[in-house]
Amino acid sequence: MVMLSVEHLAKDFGRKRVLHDVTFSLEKGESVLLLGANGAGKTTLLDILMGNIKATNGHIDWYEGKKKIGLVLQDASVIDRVTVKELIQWTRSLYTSPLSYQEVIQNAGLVEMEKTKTDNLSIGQKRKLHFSLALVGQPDLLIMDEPTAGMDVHARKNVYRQIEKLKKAGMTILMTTHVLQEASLIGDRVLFLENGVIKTDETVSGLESTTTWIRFRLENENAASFLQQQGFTWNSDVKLWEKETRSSDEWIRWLVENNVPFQDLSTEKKSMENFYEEWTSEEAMG
Amino acid sequence: MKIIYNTSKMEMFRLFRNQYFVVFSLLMPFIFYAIYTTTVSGTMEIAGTEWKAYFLISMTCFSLMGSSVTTMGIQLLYDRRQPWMKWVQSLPMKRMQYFTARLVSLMVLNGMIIIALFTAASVWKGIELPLMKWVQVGGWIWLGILPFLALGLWISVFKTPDTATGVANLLTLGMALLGGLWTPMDNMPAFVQSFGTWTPGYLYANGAWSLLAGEAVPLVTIVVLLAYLVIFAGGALYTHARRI
Repeated sequence: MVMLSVEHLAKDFGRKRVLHDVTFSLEKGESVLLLGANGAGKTTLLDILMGNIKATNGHIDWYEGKKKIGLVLQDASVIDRVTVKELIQWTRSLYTSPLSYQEVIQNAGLVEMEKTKTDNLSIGQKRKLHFSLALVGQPDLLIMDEPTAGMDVHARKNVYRQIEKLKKAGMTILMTTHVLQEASLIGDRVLFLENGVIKTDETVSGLESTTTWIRFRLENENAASFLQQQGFTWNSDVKLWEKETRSSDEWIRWLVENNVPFQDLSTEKKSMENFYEEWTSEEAMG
Repeated sequence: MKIIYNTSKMEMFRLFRNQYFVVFSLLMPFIFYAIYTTTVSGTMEIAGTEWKAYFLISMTCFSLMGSSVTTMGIQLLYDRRQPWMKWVQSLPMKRMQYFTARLVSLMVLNGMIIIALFTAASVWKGIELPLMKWVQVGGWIWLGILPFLALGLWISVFKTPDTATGVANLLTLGMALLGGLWTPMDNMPAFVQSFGTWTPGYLYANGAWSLLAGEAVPLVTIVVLLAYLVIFAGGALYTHARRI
């Protein structure tokens, strides 16, 4: 079921157009990763969805009314000069049906530190508190702007576990990230934003399972030009002939039927990392 | 209302834990009051009252001007630059509710400063005034601060805290000095008096001095202060709207 759809969104800052023509939709309960290089317009898009800034053109349709949104920021900063308890209680007071105080402080792992001022928390503790506060209002949509940036592996795994729990609970998640493994680990779908335009909108499983490299060596180079005509290329890094395809079985059959003298044939599924490298290198080339 | 109440309560805690606020709005005015009423005879007559009562008004006005222009302005600017402000904007609270709550928190603390300074000075220096006069004078100082709050809001649109701090301190001290809060206006050079009596600092304190002397607040004082309120609030709103 569609939760929201974004139609032809554009945003100008002065004379500079940051978002051009962004169109996508979010299904209820799915986890979508928004990828793109710095300056691609990811944060601007999130700001528009949050209602912090207005779009220059286009519109956002919320089905069944605008949903409750939780926000997790990269900086994980929390209001200073208040105690953990004061901040949680204040945040709860803004919602009609918040999580209980005990649930929030337990999620944050700060039960013993409720009287501690937020200024005195470690970065890790602030992150946990920030994450828990985003869930206080039991949001339908959780927006996360690079929530694992700067985290060590252990802290990152903790966040993945929390996200996994939220996904199981049916929460819709829209998240930006630079860590490509996250796309495979927690993403259902990937939106790749390039220069303010959605360039790719595909499911992670679809991308990863259907696109494969066939690689092999030739016993002799007689068939080289024939292969090139069919779109095979010589990869000088691995010293193998290769072809990227969504139907590897058919192409292997084709190689056999045409008596191509191949050896050491292997197939490799493309990972999110491969896709991202490809997208960003195309972007860099302009 | 519940949102504004809860947010004001939290902001009051934050303000009270701000050392800058405590030092500049509570301690400094009281120390200056102690020095100036010790070195000058407290019973010296001035503007239809005694120096110890007259200067209490001056320092209370100075305190509130500092808390509104400097502390509030810089605090708002500092907070606006914090990443958590984006998180605050994501909460189910309107921007106007948030800023109203912050103004309410400062107004409540301003009221507490007035009570604290009036109580301390009256007990220590033996200032005896009818209760109604304390209420009138305190009420004027409490309400008359609004133009300065608007000025603080305007200061908060500066891009860097350093510039804002410099400008805020310069304005607060300038308005206090030229407004006769340190040296009575009658003792100032004639050319300073010619424009000093039109400065917001003087008009603000003059309303309270008039009430202290048993007179009504001059109509021109009210009108010109209201004009300052419109100018400062208009400037603040216009500049904020352009920045968003």
